[in-house]
Amino acid sequence: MPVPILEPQRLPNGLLWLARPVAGAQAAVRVVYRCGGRDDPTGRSGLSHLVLRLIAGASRYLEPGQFQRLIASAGGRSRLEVDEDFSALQTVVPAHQLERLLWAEAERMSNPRIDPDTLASARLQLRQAVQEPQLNPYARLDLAVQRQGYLTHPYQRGALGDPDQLKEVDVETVRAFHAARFGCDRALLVVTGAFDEATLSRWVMHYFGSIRAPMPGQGAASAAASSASSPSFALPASDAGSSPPTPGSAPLPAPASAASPPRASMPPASGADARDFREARRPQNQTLKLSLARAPLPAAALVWQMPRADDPSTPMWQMARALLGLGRSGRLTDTLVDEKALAHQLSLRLEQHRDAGLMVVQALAAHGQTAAPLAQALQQEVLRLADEPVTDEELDKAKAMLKRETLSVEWTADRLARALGTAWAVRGDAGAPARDMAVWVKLSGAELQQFWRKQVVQAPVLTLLADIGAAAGVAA
Amino acid sequence: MTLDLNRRGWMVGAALASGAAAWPALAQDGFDRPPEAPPAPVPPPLTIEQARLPNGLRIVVLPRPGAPRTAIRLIGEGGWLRDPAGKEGLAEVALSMLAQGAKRDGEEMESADIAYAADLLGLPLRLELTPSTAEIALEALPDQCDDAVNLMADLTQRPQLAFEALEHIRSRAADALVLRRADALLLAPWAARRQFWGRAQPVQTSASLKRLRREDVLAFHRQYWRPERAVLVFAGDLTLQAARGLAEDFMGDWRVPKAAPAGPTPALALATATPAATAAQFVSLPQGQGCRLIVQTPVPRGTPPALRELARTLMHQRLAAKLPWPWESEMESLGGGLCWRMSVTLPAPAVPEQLALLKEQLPLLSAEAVTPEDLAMAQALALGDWQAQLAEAPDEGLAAAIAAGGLDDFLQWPQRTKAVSAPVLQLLMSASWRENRTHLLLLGDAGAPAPAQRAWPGLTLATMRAVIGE
Repeated sequence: MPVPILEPQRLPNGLLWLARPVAGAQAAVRVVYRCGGRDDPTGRSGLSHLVLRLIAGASRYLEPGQFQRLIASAGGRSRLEVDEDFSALQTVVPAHQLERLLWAEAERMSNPRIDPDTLASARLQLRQAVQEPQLNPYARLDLAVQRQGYLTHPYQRGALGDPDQLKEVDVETVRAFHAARFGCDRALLVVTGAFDEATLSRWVMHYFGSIRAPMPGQGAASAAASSASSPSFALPASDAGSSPPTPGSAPLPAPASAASPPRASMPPASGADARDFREARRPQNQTLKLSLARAPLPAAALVWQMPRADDPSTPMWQMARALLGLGRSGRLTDTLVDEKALAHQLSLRLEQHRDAGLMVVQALAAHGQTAAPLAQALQQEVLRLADEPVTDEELDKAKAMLKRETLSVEWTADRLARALGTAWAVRGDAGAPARDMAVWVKLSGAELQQFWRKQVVQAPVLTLLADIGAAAGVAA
Repeated sequence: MTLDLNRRGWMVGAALASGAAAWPALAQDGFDRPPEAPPAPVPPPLTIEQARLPNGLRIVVLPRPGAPRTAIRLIGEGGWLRDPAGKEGLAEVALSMLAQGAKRDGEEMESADIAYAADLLGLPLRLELTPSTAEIALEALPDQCDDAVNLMADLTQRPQLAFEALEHIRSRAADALVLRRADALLLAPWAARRQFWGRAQPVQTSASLKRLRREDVLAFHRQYWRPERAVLVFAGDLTLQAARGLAEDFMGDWRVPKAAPAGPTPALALATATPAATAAQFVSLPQGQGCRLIVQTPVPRGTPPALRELARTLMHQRLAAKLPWPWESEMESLGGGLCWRMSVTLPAPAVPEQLALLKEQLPLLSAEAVTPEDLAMAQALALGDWQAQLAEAPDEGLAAAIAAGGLDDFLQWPQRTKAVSAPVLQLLMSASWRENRTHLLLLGDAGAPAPAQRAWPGLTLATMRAVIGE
């Protein structure tokens, strides 16, 4: 199967951009900064999120709310995304409004307004965004998966951040972080939809090519200045925003220890950072119990460590997910929901990031069940994949679902922009999903089972048991 | 075109170097305002093709030339507004049971067989319940559409509806119910509907689920899955002839009952219901760490969909500008009655201040004059959302329009929205959100009640039982 080449182009100022046509009446623009929760300074969790909200909020020529009005008047919709690995702004408009949108995105990229008023407003928005998921009675379980699933990596903190750690952060600190991490040479611009390619190239060069590249050393100097004025400010290292790592090409440093959080490190002048974080290996199985005071049904989660997102084994994990967790006939649903009625609902998700990942199998118990037997049954079903043969029919069904999932991102400008930008930021390769497909279409059941025995059956697992009511054991 | 590669460089670097918080006033010709947009192209007409089988089954095709897959949806009339009094939840249970067992060529298909057959098409079977419809949705490659229609025929014409399946689904529905009660986001729409429509709004309870019998399910199925009242929708790269052929092959022998079967009577037709007296209620969900705030107001029956959408869109924009939170808004039609609802999640400490602001601003914002710019923005947004839905899920939009009896409005959306004038829009908006027509509901943790009650006089503490009946 031919794999399309999706190589971004680089403007003289370092900004990467990528365009893909999609038939229809719309165009999407996604601006991705390769800076997310993992890059937040120690003690300043959420700083990337805060900066993204400031970029989205106002700029020199766009008053607060003006971008939203501009897009609304064009008939478009806009959103922002915060991730552990990246921060992104995405807007979809009718295709004839594309040039205006490019102007506005270039304006937001180059001239964000960071002052006390916009900072206060962004802080408030951030607090709201952090609190909304906490309405869910199972929010603590999700939090525990993140905090306990990773042993040493800053991914433990999540992407949204902690509003309390940002209460005292001042304008200069935010500006310094913006200068260090959100320069145009650390970003990717993705344009998808209905457009003329030559005209688009001209617009991109005009509006984005005119943004000045960060001054050599600007990021480091700015960060250093902030660091001096704020002892707790420390920038963790990350790799280059504009130079995605090639799988297996860069030697990785020693793992950070859980006892010593990531040390401060200034990004080099070129914007290419020196080191990645590396997650420690879980030494043994671990079981934690937590109490969910508001939850009406017990729940359980099993967490296995996964390699980083650009690992060559990623297609294997995807195929296993399809067999176990996709659709109504996935093995987990078939056995635990329909056959044994142990679970009310369940999910299997792959949380793949630049430096590390987790496979999370999570379920809510059916009425009358408790967390421990549910977790045991979940684990048995996951491990059974290594032993019970995968029939050709089962494999074909899983491939059909994966294929539909992969190809469907190309159907709309909105989906494609998101998929390309995310693959670039997380995997360093906008064309990674197509490459995955080329691998898993050839995969046999026996190969998958061999992989599963080695990667999952023999690997330690974290079990989180959430019974309702009184606390029992460690509160995560 | 002349390129100014350094035009924006003053920003962060200059501000930091100078330590200045103010914006340097540097002229940047050509970049200080957006370029003019070219005139909007006229959207190509959206056409559908329709046919009927001799048994009355209606076929609707939305041609999407070049689409790689075809969305297929079978729409029946058994929505949750049909729930009989005391047996609320029947519509949901009856729909869910379709996927628990059926027959094909005399052979039994278990739930696992049905799930596998649908998953093999690439996307799981979806069973969707709306106020007025029950829907089965599948998606298939062009050469698999026969498998999809065949499966739909099995589920609706030859379902097992077995006792064991009822028990399994009842148990799952009961679990879903307790989950809904504990989660303000899930609970909000149901509690809000009950507050707005009063007891006319069916809300399932554990007691009503327990009352369901297999005979109820069988009768409900017979009453509402009938070919002459069903619609088979296709959105994809196929012709009406091909769609009709598929329908004839698999649903042509779907027989019409000679007499309308006697079935359970719906609790109440909302077509005759009127909104309950306005109320402001606070239902506390402990340790919620936040609060769902919902405001609702009635909209006159018969208000055209395009006018409703423009009003909703414009008010949403105004509200979000004045109270910058991630608001959600909708205008829900239940059996002809219309409710305009806006909701948001707030941190507990922000509730009193935002409530006071909301109380002050709602009447002002709705009474504000509708300028030509306002009208143009609302029209652009309504058109953009319509185009987005056509790109993302055309069958869903089509199904919603069919369910609401507004297919013409959906097909002619660009023209209908353009036809709305500013004075008419102004009239609808200014008639809404008056103090004596606005309902308020707070769900979750809003802190101590006194500050919220000061901000919104008349706000009363209510129990879950008082709002949703159990």
